[in-house]
Amino acid sequence: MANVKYRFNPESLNYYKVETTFRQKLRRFLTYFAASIFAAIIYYIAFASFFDLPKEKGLRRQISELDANYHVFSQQLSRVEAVIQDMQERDNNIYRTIFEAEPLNKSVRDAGFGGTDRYKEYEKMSNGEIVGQTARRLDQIMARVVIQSKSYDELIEFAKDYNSEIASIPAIQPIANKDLTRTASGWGWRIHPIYKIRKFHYGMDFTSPTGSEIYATGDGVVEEIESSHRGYGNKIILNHGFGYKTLYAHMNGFNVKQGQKVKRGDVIGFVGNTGLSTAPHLHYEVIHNNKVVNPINYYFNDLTAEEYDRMIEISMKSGQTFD
Amino acid sequence: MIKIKRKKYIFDFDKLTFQEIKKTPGQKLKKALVLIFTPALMFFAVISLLSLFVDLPKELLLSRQSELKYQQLLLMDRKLDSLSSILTQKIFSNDDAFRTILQLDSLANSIREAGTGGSELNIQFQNLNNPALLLKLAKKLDKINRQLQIQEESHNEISSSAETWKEKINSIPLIFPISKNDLIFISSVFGGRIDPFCNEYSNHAGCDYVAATGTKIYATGNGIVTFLNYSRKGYGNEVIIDHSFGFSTRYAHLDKILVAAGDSVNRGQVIGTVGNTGRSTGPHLHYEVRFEGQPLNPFFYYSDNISGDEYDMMIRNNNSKN
Repeated sequence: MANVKYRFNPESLNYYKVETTFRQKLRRFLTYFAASIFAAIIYYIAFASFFDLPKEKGLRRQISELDANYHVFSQQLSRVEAVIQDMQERDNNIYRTIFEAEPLNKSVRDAGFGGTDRYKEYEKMSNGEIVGQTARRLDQIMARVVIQSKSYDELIEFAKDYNSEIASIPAIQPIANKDLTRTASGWGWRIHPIYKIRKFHYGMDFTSPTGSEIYATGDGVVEEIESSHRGYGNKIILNHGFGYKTLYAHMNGFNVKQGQKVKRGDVIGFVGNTGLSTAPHLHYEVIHNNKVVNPINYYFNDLTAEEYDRMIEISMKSGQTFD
Repeated sequence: MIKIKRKKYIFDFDKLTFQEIKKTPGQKLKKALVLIFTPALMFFAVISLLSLFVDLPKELLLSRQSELKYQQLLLMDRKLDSLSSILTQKIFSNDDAFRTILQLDSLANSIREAGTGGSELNIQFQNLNNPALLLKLAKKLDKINRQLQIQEESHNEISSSAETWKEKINSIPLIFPISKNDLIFISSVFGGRIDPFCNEYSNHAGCDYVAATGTKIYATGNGIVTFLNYSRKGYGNEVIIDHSFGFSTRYAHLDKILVAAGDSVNRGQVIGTVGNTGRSTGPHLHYEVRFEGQPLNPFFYYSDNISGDEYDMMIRNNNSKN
């Protein structure tokens, strides 16, 4: 009987019990609950705007720390970027001093180069370079092959000859030239380093430290060895037969004797700076039927199509030679 | 309309009357406080419970911010890697190539790698659950900074060496002293010969180039005129040029001398004309190349590959430049 409440009805002048139905009670409770939740949300918003839970505090600290570090790194990174850019410019200047030419830009390759225009049509095809290169290779090796009307025996003889021709033709680079970093001036008009006039460079220069190994680029015989302080300096001429000869100049020393037979890849001597040369390098020439030809066509065993492209780019750069 | 206060009454069994329920201010306040703080309590209870299982909106926001910062740092890492590869693939390999050409010692890879060391950067990472990225970045930055420093020094060496190289090529006597087209023939070479005046064997310190009197003589390398002399004996009218790097050249039996002592000359510049002065049997140029005073064979100091016209072109170019 506790806490029974009464209300006074002024019209009937009676006290009546305040009775609340369950439904009324429920409604009252729900209203209270809803208001409560609403208040809770308001509280949360108010609270959240001014205070942080520990987890949030932790996150904020993380963020500010990351931020601070980011700024430090960002500054450092900008500085590194600036220094590297500066360095590349200095590199370019040194390049210009040594080569008297603009440093290489990877974008454009000089269109076309002397002599072999009939391969140009292949360049228009997709995979053009590979096709062009293969065509070159085939032309060079198969120029003298006429297979159709040969008898079996003749074919065997022919193949033997053939194999030896393939082994004999200059087909690799004369020095180790990984990534083509040793490629210097190639075939074509260049500036003479001493006379400073335009002079045709009949060969290809490879920069390399004094004493680097020089390889015979095809099977053959040592036809000529010359020691000299003039012009080509110490030089070797190999005779590969089939009308091919190769010349290696400004050498430091020899590893073969006159008349010696060599195989492709044999070390025939070492890079030097003898004769009239402005830096240690190998001057390499390929001679076919007594005419000096562009050596770039004679590295096909050594270069992929892309490397071939790249080598053309590098060696075609007009500029100063070392001899 | 009169507002009737909804008073509530309670039956007092002792007094047997209805008493108004009057709430003291204290009680009223208490009720008000309960009303206000129950939801607050509920709120705390719910939040605490929730935060155990779920990320609250603010947390989500902060988390996302944190994640963003992290991404920025990852980007930075990638950028650093690409800068590093420019350094190693382009700059280092150029460095190697230049050193080869200039005949400088190559830098050992161990030096290029710049070793390890403590970080000089002030990195704070106490508050992070995953400081690995930051530490990695700090280490990379330090390494690249050290490598850059080493490369700067290397560059300085190469740069000055390149300048010297260029100067040396332009200074050392490396061309023929007269136009190939003007040369009549080489009458005497370096080394032993019979002295035409006294038929005695003498050591010839240079080369004799026969050419018509008045033929222009060119300095064979950049240098300074350190000596000139007019005489009827011995070398006759002569000029000596110092090319530095230990090299000097002598031009003797000249007809006219067209420079003065102390003059700075360039390769290809006219210094005098061929004559027959001094101990000479006919107009010719006696030409000497000396290194640290010792005579060298001039044959080794010019190219046979240059034609007369190419030589003349060189002279023309030189004249138009100066």
